[in-house]
Amino acid sequence: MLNLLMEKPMLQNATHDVEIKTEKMKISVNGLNAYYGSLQVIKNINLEIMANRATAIIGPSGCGKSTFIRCLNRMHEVIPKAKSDGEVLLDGENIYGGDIDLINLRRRVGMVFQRPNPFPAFTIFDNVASGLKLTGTRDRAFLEDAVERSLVKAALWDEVKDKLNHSGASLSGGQQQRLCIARALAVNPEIILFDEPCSALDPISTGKIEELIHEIKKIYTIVIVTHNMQQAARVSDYTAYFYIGELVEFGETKKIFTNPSKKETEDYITGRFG
Amino acid sequence: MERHLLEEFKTLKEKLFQMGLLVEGAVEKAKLALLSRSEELAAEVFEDEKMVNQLEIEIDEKGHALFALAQPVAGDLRLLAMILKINTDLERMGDHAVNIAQRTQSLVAEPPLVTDFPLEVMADATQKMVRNAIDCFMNENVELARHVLKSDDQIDDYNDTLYSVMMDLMQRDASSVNCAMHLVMIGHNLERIGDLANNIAEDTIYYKQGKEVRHHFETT
Repeated sequence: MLNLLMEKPMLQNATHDVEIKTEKMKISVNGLNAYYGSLQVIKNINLEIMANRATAIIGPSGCGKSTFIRCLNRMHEVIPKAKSDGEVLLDGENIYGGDIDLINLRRRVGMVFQRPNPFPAFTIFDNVASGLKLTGTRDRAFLEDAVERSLVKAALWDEVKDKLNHSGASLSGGQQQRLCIARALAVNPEIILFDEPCSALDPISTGKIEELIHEIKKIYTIVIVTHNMQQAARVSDYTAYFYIGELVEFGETKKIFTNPSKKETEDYITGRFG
Repeated sequence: MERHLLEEFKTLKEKLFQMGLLVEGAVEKAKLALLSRSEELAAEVFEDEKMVNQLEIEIDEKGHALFALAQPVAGDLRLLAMILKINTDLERMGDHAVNIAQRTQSLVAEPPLVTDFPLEVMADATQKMVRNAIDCFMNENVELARHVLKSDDQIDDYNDTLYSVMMDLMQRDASSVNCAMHLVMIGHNLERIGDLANNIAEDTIYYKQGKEVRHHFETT
């Protein structure tokens, strides 16, 4: 019943120009504000993120893209003096509610960062298994199975299966980023937040990550922050354009990149901004 | 987009304008050659076509390079896509002008056909439609584009009338068949030129507003 209630047709309106179609909503952001001390960096964001779709967050530096996605798994508040208010409903439940288990929330909403950050002292195997071990899993057979499945999903298994006991730091930058994705997948999340995952990678590695995102969105919901317009166009189904902490336009990626509704969006994506 | 790439877009649009002027000139020369039974003017249409073909290739090559180098989106994407479509449409218009010129050369060898069909009016209306189509795209004038769309029906009506008049003539006078068939085909060429001008007007609306108006289908 809850799932049925969460399925809603998306209607056209002046701000959010989205075709009418039935999609399952995974996250609903309502009136979200975020601050660093007294500086407000996210202003009254209302946005719906659809399940098993990739949503790209684009906008110039300092527009609040990364802060926004960090609010989706309550990583923002980890920073001293950072705070937020408003509502983020994950499957209908407010993650800012009083009785939320943060460890479980961050298991459900995983994150991959800009620079690959494998644990350097850990082997490839232990890097992937680390999340499961943290949650108390010790069964070796279970761990081996989970590590293999995660590395396969992250399209890295064939490259590392014979050196699982090597250090994670021994891999190339692109492989390290896929290792971090495998680590995020190992704890069986529902949503993965990517914060500029390819900005430190070469085009070949970037292509592999983009292909991977395309594949894994069949299972997971993806939110990706990117400065690369072509990347947003290639990998996402929906795109949100942020500017100075505000959501300027949100819609289907195809629409945003062929015929955006707002001049500000057009100016940004065509490089005429400023 | 970087400034030098924006300049490339501007240059490409200017080249398309140059091609449009040549094609409109070719349509006008074909019309005048037909009405004045001038083989010399008809021959000029063939020369114009060579330049039109050359421009078509240049615009195609430059356009494809810009797709790769500039990776345009939004308005830039629609502009480049429409330039390449209009490039093809203009080249086809040039081909129809050549067809008219070729038939004119055949008609000159025959005695003039006496008919009260207003061929000059039809040809003038077609040429004006071509000019307006090119102008509406170059000046990004959606109002003029919508006017062009409306004027296409007029050319279609002339073509239907010409067909009926010529059929009637051929039934009454067998010796007129050769000339009448040439005129039927010339009417068809003019009607096709009108259709291609219509396409340019539709492309202008899509470029400026992102609205699809082809096949009487209008998106918001």
